[in-house]
Amino acid sequence: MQTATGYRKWISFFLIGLILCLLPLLLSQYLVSILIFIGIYAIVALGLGLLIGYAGQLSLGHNAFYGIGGYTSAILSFRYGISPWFGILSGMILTGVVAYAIGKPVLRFRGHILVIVTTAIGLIFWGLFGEMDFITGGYDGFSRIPTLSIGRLFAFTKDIHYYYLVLVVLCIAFIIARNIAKSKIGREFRTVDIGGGGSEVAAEMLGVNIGKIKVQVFVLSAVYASIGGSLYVHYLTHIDPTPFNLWMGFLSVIIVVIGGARSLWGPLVGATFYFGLKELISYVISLLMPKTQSVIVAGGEVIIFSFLFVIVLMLLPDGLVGLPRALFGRWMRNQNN
Amino acid sequence: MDTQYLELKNISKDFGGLRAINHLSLNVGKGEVVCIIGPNGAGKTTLLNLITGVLPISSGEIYFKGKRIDRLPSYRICKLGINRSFQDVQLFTHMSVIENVMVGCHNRMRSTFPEVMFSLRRVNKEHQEAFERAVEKLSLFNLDKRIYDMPSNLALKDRKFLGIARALATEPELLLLDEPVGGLSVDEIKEISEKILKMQEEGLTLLFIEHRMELVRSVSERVIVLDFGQKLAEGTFDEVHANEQVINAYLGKEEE
Amino acid sequence: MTLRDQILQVLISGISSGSIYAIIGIAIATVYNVTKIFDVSQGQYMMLGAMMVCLFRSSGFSVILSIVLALVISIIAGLLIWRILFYKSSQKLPHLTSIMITFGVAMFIEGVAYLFLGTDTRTTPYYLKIAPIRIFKATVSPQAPIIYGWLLVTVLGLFFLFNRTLLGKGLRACHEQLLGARLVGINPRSMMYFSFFLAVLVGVAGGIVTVPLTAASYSMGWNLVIKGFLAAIVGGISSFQGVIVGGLILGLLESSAAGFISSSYASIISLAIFVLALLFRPTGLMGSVESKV
Repeated sequence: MQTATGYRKWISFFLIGLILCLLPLLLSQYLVSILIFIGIYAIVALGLGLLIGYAGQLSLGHNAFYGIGGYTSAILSFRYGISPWFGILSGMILTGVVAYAIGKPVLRFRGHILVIVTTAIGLIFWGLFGEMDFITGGYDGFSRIPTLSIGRLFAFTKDIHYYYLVLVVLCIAFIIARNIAKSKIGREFRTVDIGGGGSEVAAEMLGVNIGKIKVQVFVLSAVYASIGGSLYVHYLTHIDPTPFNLWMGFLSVIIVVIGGARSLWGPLVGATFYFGLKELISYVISLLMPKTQSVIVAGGEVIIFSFLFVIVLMLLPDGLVGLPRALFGRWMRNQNN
Repeated sequence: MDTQYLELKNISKDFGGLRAINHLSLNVGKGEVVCIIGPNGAGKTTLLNLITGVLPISSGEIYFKGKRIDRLPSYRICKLGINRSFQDVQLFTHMSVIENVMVGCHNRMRSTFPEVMFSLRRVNKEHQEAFERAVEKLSLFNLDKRIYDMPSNLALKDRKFLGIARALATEPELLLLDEPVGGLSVDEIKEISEKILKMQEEGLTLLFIEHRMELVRSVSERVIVLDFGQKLAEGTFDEVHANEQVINAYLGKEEE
Repeated sequence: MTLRDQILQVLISGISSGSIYAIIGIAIATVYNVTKIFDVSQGQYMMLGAMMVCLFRSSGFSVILSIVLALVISIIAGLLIWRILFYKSSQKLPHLTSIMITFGVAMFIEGVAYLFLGTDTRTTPYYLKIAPIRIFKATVSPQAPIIYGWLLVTVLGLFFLFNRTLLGKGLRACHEQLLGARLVGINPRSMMYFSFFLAVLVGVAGGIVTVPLTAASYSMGWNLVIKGFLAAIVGGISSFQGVIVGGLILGLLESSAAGFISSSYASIISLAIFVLALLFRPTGLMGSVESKV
């Protein structure tokens, strides 16, 4: 319903699209692989962004859903020879079912119960991924997972191919998220966000089935995470529990919040910011302290990002996406004085 | 007049040891405008909360058009045709004026999740229709020029109007208003009186709580007086104002 | 080992770990009851206390000195963080944001521990130089009496505080009726600081007391805080006894699972059972009836 910006909007989309398509041809393979990770995490963050930014619910255990997607797809395609595409689909369905089973009873309660339960779920599933070695390959995992391919014509083996695949999936995911956010469903999500100006009492009185809405957004965010997990697994063609630990769940939340939870661009910005800054940090550390162990880098990463996370929460609630307004808003006010 | 429209049969509400509503029975007929008055703490808002499913009743039954509604959650009651405004308005403060009202329009929208995901033409059409309906409701209150404003930028009167417009967007048959003119000036009260009478003309049934007698006198056909969760008196505005018990409990103390 | 001995062993280790969960549950409940915020960082204070003690001990300090140093440093760190964060009134922030901030703090502390204290699991010798106690064929570690003892001290101390001192009553007043508390001159902000200080103290001391038995690693905080909170809620977060009961039950559940089913699944099973219990009985076993927790 906003005023259409017509041509300008389409032109900028076209330009961005063009740049994104040309990027992998210009960059080294290492950088392209980073872009792939950015894309995958952006997909996860998009779903989580709807949950946190629109519906105001916090889940710290989304690594569980990322992992269910990843393991389902890996196991079905590796062990049972099922096409990876069906593996991804099955992952989505299974994740949806699990998320529904968890969400339905838990979302009746106040928000912090969801935080506790999802963290516990994150711990539980990470433990399961490691312990159930008869299916999951245990803590060592397994390799030689089939890559995605289009029939016999084309296999996504090279990084560049995978980049375009992830880009396409991300675009679709983004468009769907956007459609939902701008629709009556998105509006209903926002009515239950108590911290952000919602009012559950009023919403319910206007016909919004609050319980159902919360479960819907929770399941949606879980399914997005599972897609990310499956894509991850078919890219690496190796799986083990490490990338599906609690830290991944935390990281997803950090990315969403730093990028900007209330906007759909926030998760994308956040993912780019995270990987970009991470590379910068390890580069700088390797320059200053060449004989450094990876422990320093990893520890430094946690400290820096948790610090930024808290700063954003306190001072910049709209995230990086809101930074221009925060900076220029003051400039404009000064101009008027 | 069909008095079986809204029926409260012997309802009580306890909060721990406190009995807020005590064996109360009352009826509202279709098309009526009924007002509930009474001292603070008499249980008036609690009564509205019980009817609209915000709180569960402790005993008794509530019927609407013959159907039992006292166990239903609020969103079901909304779908049955009852809606309300809130004493503290309860607007969605991060959403614009038009968006607040559009949530009310959702009541009549039928798009499903998959349809929305892919933004099918039907979804957009329905969205456009909802937008227009919302603007129409807002124009009743002269807010159609301010649809993109945020609630925090509105004056109290407009915020209250917005709350009512939002409730009206659900196309209710029975509208409950909780102190719609609290804090407003005499002129603003006249404005609302006119709007209420217009709503009644269009077939709406109204039950509202109010302290300001200007409003009560100008629109209500019947007045019910509540005290300590019980019905103290019932009748027309004049009858009730002549009632001694009512004067002692409530009216005599009024400065206005 | 006969069944009887096995059961005894399960009981003993269950009560030990249950006491740990009870201690951290108390810390979490204290903050929650006064501020209504679920402080995710509580687990990290126990970790800090534990890690500090190990650090100082292995650097050659005496037991007493190590403990004192660990206490002092961890508490200062905790209070500093609280001071910095909640300088801006935490009341004005939406609930969700407050929880997220505590979560950020928790990660920050973990990161610092990771960086400066490394990934190794640290431990330290038992404080009491006695041999493990044997009851029939089950072993009670020498640290166990200290743990139980400390739990008792903590509980009695807090009980005394809440019921007999003005300060404690002030805390309870804030929990029950914030406006009323304000009206009689109690400063809620100070009460919040104090409840947090208490919680940190309890957590740090708990870590110091239990580390000879359970060892310490930089990531132990999450496991503790989740179990602590689950224990507290299932037990009944507004009631002292509830939290303790919850903690003990969780500990026993875990050790039973470890002893009779499988030690690697023990944690998973106990977590899962408690999550289910939470969903079916959200007000807890002994808590007061609140609407929707």
